Amino acid sequence: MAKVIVVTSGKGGVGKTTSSAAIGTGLAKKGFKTVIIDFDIGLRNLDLIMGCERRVVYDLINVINGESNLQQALVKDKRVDTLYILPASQTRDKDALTKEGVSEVIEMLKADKFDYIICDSPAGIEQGAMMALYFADEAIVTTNPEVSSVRDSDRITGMLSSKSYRSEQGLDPVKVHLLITRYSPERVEREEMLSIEDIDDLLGIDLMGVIPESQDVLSASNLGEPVILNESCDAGKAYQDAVDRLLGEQRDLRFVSVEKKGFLSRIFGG
Amino acid sequence: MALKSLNFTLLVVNIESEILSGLADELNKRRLMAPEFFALTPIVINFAVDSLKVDFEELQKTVAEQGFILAGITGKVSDEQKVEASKYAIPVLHSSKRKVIKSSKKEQNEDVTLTVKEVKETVVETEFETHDVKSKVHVGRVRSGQQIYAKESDLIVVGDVGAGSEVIADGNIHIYGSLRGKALAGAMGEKGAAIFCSHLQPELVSIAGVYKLSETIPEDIWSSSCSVSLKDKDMVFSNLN
Repeated sequence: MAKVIVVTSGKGGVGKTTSSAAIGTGLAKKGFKTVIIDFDIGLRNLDLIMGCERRVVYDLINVINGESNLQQALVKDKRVDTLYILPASQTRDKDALTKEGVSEVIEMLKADKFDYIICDSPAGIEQGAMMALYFADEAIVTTNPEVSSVRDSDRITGMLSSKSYRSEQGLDPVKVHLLITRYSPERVEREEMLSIEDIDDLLGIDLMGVIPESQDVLSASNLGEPVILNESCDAGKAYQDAVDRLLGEQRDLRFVSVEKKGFLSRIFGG
Repeated sequence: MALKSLNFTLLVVNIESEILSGLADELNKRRLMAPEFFALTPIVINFAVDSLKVDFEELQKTVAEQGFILAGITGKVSDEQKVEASKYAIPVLHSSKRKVIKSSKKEQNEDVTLTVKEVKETVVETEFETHDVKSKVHVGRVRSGQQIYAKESDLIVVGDVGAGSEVIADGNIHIYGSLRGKALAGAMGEKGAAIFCSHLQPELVSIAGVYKLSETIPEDIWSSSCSVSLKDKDMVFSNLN
């Protein structure tokens, strides 16, 4: 049975698209047939992060409006062969998303034997974000360790429990996971940043992963290569751990404490 | 003219014995506590145990003597008693009370033959014991942007009340968790309402329209387990520990 997972946050710029790309790719790498849908109509980004912008012909809105079929709009990833992207339209706005239309597309994807349908939500709490979360079975709430991001995450978590299909139908609630991104243990130690404990206290959501602040994330985005494919960097490893936890495996948290410099490196630097 | 349904709050007295002198004593005690408050108050007699041989004429008289009005009977009323009651024009009422409350009440009343239901000092001062359950329980966190309103009742929140959220009640508010959002008790102007919470870190607390913002809340009670009430027109914070 296909699982619909929304990646959301409320606040913009916290790493929703980066996380959607990384987690979607991670699930596909495990052999699951996965599609990532870009719900950010008018501000299409996911195709850039995934490095497939030059292969986008049709988009989500075309499919909803019946201007193309689903197969024409799905962009197959070149690196992981069970991974597909359903891009957003750059020329339309978010009102083009309708509940009926989105429902139809999700049903088509389910019929197409997808295991995971990842919905990359736009920022905000308007139509686009509401449509992205409406059909979710699970949610990954992305948050940065700072107060405004945490508050917006709280708001969107509230909406998941009141504005989703599951809540309206009285089904089991949407399962919410917390993904903390851009975490810097050094800055937490200097009390410039909220700690994992602070965030847990404020949100009370099960922690799915902590992605350390890393230059590799930015360069991966610029290269159009999901950071999880870079297996040597900390952020890539942290995303891999998060995917494993999403699949129910136990993984200890990594990269969350300050690395104590060893004796030799203190003498020789680096 | 229109026929419509309305809910009323009534004082209910439990009886577990047919000896009505106990009832008279209990009512008298209540009346002396607040004579004006209870004058000509309608009350409902709850037959808490089966097959009570109550003389309805005497029951009516006993209640009237104490300055109350018998509004009806409820509880374990047998069919014969219903017929009997109708002769004296005493209505038989059916409570819509939830079972959970009943069971807890029984424990309280186990070795007492006659008590006024859930009698607390505060109830006597502020509100009648109600026919319906007059508290709303919210289990779980209240998140930013959410608003919970307990109309004409108390509100009990089991969980944190997050920043950017609002909990409002016409009665008291109890929060078993942190209060980081806004809490407004006595929203209909009930000055006796209060807020109780385990960690007081609110954006705003208000009782019957009198409010304080987080800035003006005394530092020594910040984040403590605390109750907020009104004394005259001033807000009073008292530590619960």
